[in-house]
Amino acid sequence: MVQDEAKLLHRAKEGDGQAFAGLVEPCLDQAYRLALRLAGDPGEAEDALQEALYKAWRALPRFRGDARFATWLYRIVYRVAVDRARKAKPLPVDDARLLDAAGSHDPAAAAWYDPESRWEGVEAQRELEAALQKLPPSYRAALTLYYVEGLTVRDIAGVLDVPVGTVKTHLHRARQALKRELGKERGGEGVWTR
Amino acid sequence: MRAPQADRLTWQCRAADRLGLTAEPPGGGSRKGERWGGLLAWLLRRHVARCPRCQAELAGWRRIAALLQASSGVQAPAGTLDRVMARIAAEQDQERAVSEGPRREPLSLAGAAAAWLAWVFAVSLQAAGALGLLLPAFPGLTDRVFALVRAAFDSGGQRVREAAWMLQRAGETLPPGVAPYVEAVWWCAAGLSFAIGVLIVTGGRPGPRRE
Ligand SMILES: [Zn+2]
Repeated sequence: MVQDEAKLLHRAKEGDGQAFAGLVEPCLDQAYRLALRLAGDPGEAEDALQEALYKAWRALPRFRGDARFATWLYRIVYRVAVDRARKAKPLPVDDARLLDAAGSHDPAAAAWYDPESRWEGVEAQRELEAALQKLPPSYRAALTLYYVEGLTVRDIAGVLDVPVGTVKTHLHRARQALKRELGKERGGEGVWTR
Repeated sequence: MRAPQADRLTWQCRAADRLGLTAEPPGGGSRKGERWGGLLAWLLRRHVARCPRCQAELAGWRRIAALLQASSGVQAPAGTLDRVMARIAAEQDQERAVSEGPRREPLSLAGAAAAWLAWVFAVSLQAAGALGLLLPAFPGLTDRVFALVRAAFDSGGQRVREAAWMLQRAGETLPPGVAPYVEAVWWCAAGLSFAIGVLIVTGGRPGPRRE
């Protein structure tokens, strides 16, 4: 598998478009889901993904192969999606400090779980997505890559281009921020609390 | 209503939260290299297993993870990769067309450049002669070159001969101060024509293809 990737990479670097497509195909859906989570809109996510794929093709000769190709591609998708979002509409909520300023263990966040309630289905999905969209892109990306795509902390560090310790901090803060935002989405009730 | 467990938040609960031990995705704890090692993590895991608050937290995050993973079946829109590949292929075709087009061989370019430089040198000599600076050193140089050109024309057809005479007569009718400059322009144009001719004759073949 790794050898196949190395062969495809070698051919793609020499200008073989089919080899490049062969490299991209296995991680295309994951890359799209990351773009979708960051863009929050399917059309914009597709545009961001196409731009990222084209940039990856142009940057391929500079790819040294010290990370997995998928990790390298996700990093480009992440940068492109964040750049596009920043150009489209700068959101003050993207400032991580604003979210962290509220403290990591406020009562609204602490009271979020009630085992008796049934928080699920389309409504729960909608509330979760709404809360996610209020998080900074780096938090959103970290949560998505960790919980949806099953990437390791080390791989996420490669995607976000930050140290492993920073990813752990991102994940912790992202969880606290998500709990707070979910609490707000639930009208201050706390998630799953009826 | 607040969950009663929330009130009993101990330092172990906070530490377990900080290390993500209460928020591992289903099966996440078994991912290679993901488990937090060390004595502290071991003790905290024991705490999480017994603490109602941490169990509630863990169950909450498993629910969140499950909801998040509901999006894991989302696929990239059909044709996304094809559109990018089509753009890449079109660019490759364009680049290939440019690199495979007729290329001048370096030798012919160098030859043309040398011929042109020689003509520029000749023209500058003429200009210098016209200004009277080098007149004693190159007496009658222009006349001799003209004589050669005329001789070449003489062996050609009547029209060429007439054109040459007309050209010379035109030169003779010019005012004395202007003639040297017209002569310099004529030589320069002739030199350029010669260089272009060399380029066309020797440089028309396609160059090597770029792999
Ligand atoms: Zn606890």
